[in-house]
Amino acid sequence: MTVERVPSGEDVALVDLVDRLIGGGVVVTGDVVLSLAGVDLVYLGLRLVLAPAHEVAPVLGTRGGPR
Amino acid sequence: MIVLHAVVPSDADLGDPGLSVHEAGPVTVLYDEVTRPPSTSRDAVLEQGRRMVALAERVPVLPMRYGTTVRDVGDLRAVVEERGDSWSRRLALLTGCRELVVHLGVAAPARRIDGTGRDYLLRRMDHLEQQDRVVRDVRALLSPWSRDLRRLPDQQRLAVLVSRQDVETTRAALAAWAAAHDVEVIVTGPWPPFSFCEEADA
Repeated sequence: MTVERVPSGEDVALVDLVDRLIGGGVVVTGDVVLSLAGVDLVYLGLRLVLAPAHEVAPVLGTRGGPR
Repeated sequence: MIVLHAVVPSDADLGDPGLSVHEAGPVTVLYDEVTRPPSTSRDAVLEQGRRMVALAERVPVLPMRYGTTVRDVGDLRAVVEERGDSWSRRLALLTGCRELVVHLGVAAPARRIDGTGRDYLLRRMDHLEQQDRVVRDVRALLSPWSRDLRRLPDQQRLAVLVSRQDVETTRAALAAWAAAHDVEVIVTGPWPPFSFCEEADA
């Protein structure tokens, strides 16, 4: 059985909003609770949401090299 | 501990922002005094996002990166004294503008048979070249409306700064272009100008 997660436009928008909040905005000298690694993880999550199940492996491969 | 939320013009009509305000010259900083660092939960980040989206509907805004804190009001004053004029210039440039995020779903080239490392690299290069072509095409397509356009670090999305009144025109242009090309396009926003907050040169 194949189960595919079909993202709604709202899903994508919410992930974009989270991604831009922690990857954009004004940066000042101070502390930021989320690291840049967190941004990468958010976008990786977005790619998983967007990709049909059979394309998940190549998507991961493009970020981290051949699997 | 002080959590910094946003910078707005000092003459902005904020109503009740539900946050503390620090006015200094041309800008006002919205902040919160807390005893613990901001939550890293998705819901907490989204709550902040919704607050920024609502704020941007009313006034020009420079959102702070989520989770930015300074130690106390003294540090806040020092930051604003150092950066206030620059923030004010940036706010002036962004007034009336919104950000759209454009996802460009460029299909990967078909897998070849041998599956060697060389094969992988060739396919990867083809894909990147195709992505670059699509970005160039979209940049040209949107040039009548985009005030600024940046490729986000993942290289597969664009942040596009447009006037508020051009948001729907830009969306329609992208939809028409996508329908004519073999590219899946998803547009989200309009957002506050998260990707265009770097400070203006003096």
